[in-house]
Amino acid sequence: MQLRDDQIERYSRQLILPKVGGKGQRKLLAAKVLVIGAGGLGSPCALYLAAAGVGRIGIVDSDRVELNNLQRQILHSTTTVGRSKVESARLRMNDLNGDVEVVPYEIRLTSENILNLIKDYDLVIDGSDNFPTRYLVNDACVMTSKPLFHGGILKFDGQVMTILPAEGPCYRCLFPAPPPPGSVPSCQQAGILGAVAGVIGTMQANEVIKYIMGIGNLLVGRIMIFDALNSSFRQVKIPRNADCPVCGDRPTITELIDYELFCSIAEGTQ
Amino acid sequence: MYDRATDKLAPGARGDILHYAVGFLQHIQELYASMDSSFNFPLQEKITQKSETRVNELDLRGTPCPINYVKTKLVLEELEFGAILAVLLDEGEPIVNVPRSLKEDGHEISGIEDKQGFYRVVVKNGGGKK
Repeated sequence: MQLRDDQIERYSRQLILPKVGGKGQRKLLAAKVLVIGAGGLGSPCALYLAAAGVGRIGIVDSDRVELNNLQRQILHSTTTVGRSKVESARLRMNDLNGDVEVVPYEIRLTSENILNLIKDYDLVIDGSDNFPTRYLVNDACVMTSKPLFHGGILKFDGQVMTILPAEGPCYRCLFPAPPPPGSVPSCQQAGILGAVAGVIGTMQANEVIKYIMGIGNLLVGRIMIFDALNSSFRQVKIPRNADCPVCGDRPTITELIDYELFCSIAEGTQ
Repeated sequence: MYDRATDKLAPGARGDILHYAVGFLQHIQELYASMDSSFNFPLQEKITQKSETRVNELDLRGTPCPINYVKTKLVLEELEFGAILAVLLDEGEPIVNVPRSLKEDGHEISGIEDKQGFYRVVVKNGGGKK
C-alpha cells in the first residue's frame, strides 16, 4: 500500500517522526478500532484517531446530541443537536479525514450484542459514562483477549489505563465489582470540566496510536491519575490480581453480566 | 587521456569528477533502459517514476520542505540497508535542511553535487527494511 501524495502531505508531521514513518502510517491506516461512547471521552479520542488516519473507526452510542453535551463533547456541534450522536460523529470525522471509514452503531451495548460487535475490531476504547457498560466492556474484552483502553472522568479528575488481557491487570483487578447503585454520582449529577474530558480522551487516543504502531511504553500495569485543579499527574502501579473475578487464576465470572438490569431492580426494591 | 586530465587535480576534485562521470553514465543507462520497443523515450514524468523504483533516483525539484524530506524517508524505508539513493533537491531551504535531517536519521550523505540551480545528493541508506 503506497501512500498517495495527499496522504504524504496530510500525515507529513507524523511521518517525519523517527518511530513512525511510512510503516507506522500504514499500520494506522490498516487498523480497526471501536470507540464505546461518542461523548466527553469518545469525542477527543475519536477525533485524534481520525486525524491520525486510523482506517476504520466504529463508534457506539444510543443517545441523541443535547445542548448540554457541547461543553465537552467536541465531536458534535450546535447544528447537530437533536440528531443521533453516532451520525453527528460520522459527519464530523469524515469532514476531518475522508481516509477514515466511520461505522456508526446507534445501539445500547448489552451482553447479547457486545461480542458480535467487538469481534471485527483490533481493539476497544472505553469512553462510557456508566458502570454497567464499563464492566460489560471490560469482561467482554478480557474474555475475547481484546486490548481495552480505559478512561474515566468525574468533576476535576480523570484516570487512564491500558488493559492488555493476560499481559496485565484488567479493570476488575482494581475494582472487582461495580459500586452500589447511587453510591457514586454520575457526571450528570456531579459535573465535569470539558477540558478534563479532553485530557483523558486524548491520552486514550495516544495509547491507542502507540499500541497500533508498536512504539513506546503503554499504561499496562499502571494507572495514570489526573488532578486538573492541581495540574498534576500521578501514576499508581497495579499488579494483576490473581483473585480477579474475571481475569484471575480461577475466574468466577465466566458469562457477561448486564448490571443495568440488576441495578434497576436493586434501585426499585430500595 | 583520462589519467592525464585528472592527475593535476586534487584527490577530492578527482573523486567529484569520477562521481559525476558515474552518475552521468547511470543517467544514460536509465534513459536507454526507459525506451520503449520503438526506441521512443517516455515522457519526463514516467522516467522519474521509473528511476525512483529501479535506479533509485528521486527528483524532488519543486517539492517544498518538509515534504521533500518525508518522500526521501519513505523511499529509504523501502530500500535495503546500505542501498544508494540519489535525490535531486532545490537550492535554498531544501539543500540546507534535507541532508541534515537525513544524517540525523542515521543515513550517510556520500556526495553533494552542485548541478547549477539544483543539487544531486547521494544518500547511503542507514536504515531500511527490517
